[in-house]
Amino acid sequence: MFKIGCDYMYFDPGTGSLIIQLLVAGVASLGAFFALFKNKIKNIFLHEEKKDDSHEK
Amino acid sequence: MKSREISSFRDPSGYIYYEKGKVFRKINPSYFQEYHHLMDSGLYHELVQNHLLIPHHEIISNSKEIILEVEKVPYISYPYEWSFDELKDAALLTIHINQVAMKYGMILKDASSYNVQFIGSNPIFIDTLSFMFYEETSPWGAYGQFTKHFIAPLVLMKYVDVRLNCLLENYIDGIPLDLCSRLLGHKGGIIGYLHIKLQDKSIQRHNQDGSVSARKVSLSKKDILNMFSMIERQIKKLSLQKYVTEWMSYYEHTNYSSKAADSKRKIVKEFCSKLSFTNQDLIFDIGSNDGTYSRLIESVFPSYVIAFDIDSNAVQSNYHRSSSEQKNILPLIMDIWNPSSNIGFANRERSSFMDRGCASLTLALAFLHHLVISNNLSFEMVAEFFSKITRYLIIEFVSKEDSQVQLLLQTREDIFDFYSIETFRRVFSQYFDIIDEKTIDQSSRSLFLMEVRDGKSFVK
Repeated sequence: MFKIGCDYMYFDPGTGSLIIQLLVAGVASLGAFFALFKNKIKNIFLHEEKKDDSHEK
Repeated sequence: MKSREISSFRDPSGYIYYEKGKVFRKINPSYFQEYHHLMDSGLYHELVQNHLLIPHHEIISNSKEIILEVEKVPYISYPYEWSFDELKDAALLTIHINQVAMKYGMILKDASSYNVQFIGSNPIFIDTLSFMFYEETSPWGAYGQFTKHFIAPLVLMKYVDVRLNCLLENYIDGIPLDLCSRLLGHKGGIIGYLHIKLQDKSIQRHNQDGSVSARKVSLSKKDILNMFSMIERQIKKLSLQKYVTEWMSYYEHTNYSSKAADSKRKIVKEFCSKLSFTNQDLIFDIGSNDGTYSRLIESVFPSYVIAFDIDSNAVQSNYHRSSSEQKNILPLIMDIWNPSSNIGFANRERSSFMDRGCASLTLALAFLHHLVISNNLSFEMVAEFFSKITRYLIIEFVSKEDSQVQLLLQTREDIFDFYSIETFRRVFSQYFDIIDEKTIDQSSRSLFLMEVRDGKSFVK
């Protein structure tokens, strides 16, 4: 059975929204960390490629 | 005489009032500290310089009161009248303002979609008093409101039906997350799951046990900034599937020959040459489709054109084009058979279409037959309606012989004996003075230029 949202009348839905931010911000920070990690790995390979190119020259 | 904006009651920091056609904002002493920081830190300057925040100048500023005169928005519109991309741009603007504000130690205390307005096709933030000091480790207090005002309608429009932004007219403080979650079902993607479904569950859970205090929620500044960047990326990725609707390509698929189309453009231009307007005048294009004639009118007058259409995709297409060409046009979704009503507390927070001001000129091209034949409105009702919203009217009469009218009559009984150019002329003459009348070449259509009776003259 569905629960209809009238309960909000006696409750500040802000609390649930603030708490979920822990998860949302956690996901975002994790994503940012992996993006940074991915870029670092990418840069290492690009750096290696550049080195190889300069050796060939 | 001063008149106070009733919707300002939501903000204890101050209120908007109008006097002699100008807009003023009175700031309450409780907000002075934040206001001075906004102005002195460089935040206001950066936002205004980048056209992100409405500019103002101080009329009175002392230790007891601050009154600002705020730049006037030419035409107020509401989120339920915006197309998908207009709502999306308003959401992105709100997040971007937060990112800028964080650099100056501030953050938005609310994230209502009504804090954004459009000037032409550019969104602008209008609530100068929305900025509060950012407190280290505090979560973003307006996240829930942002979800209900922006993310919920955007995911519903994308994943369920593009027309569902109409829910915003019913729910003035955003779409309830339990309703949004139920409408999404298994759809919604990651953005829908993370922001709507999980947040809804969190709200329901803490409603039931009430055991966790919001004070325990603590986030670093870096976390908050990462969250803003993620929300920004997720919203940017949201786009509607490309499809063509009847109205968005109307002028590519009409029954006009190219000679008739040229003739129509020429007559509209000729009518316009008889009129003179300033940049203070509003022009309505009703049933604007892709905005072909809005652009023509915009190129003739320095006035601001509001292009209304019932079809969200036509409005979206017009918005894209007007935005890329930097036109002085605001495309809005409006069903003229059931235009936006007065909503909110005491029906006075958000104004109806009829109460939001009149146009100096209205274009109603290829529109009358839809009102009369598809919707059974009499010529009297239509003429009276136009006389209430405009001073001048350029209206197209499409005769019964026209193939488009024949198409409308195919599926219904022809009970429209009165539908003739003679009756049209007679009935409209009760409300308007007919200035000019021209037949469009190679068609059974005519264009009329009219001026409302007892109107102030703009004729050159």
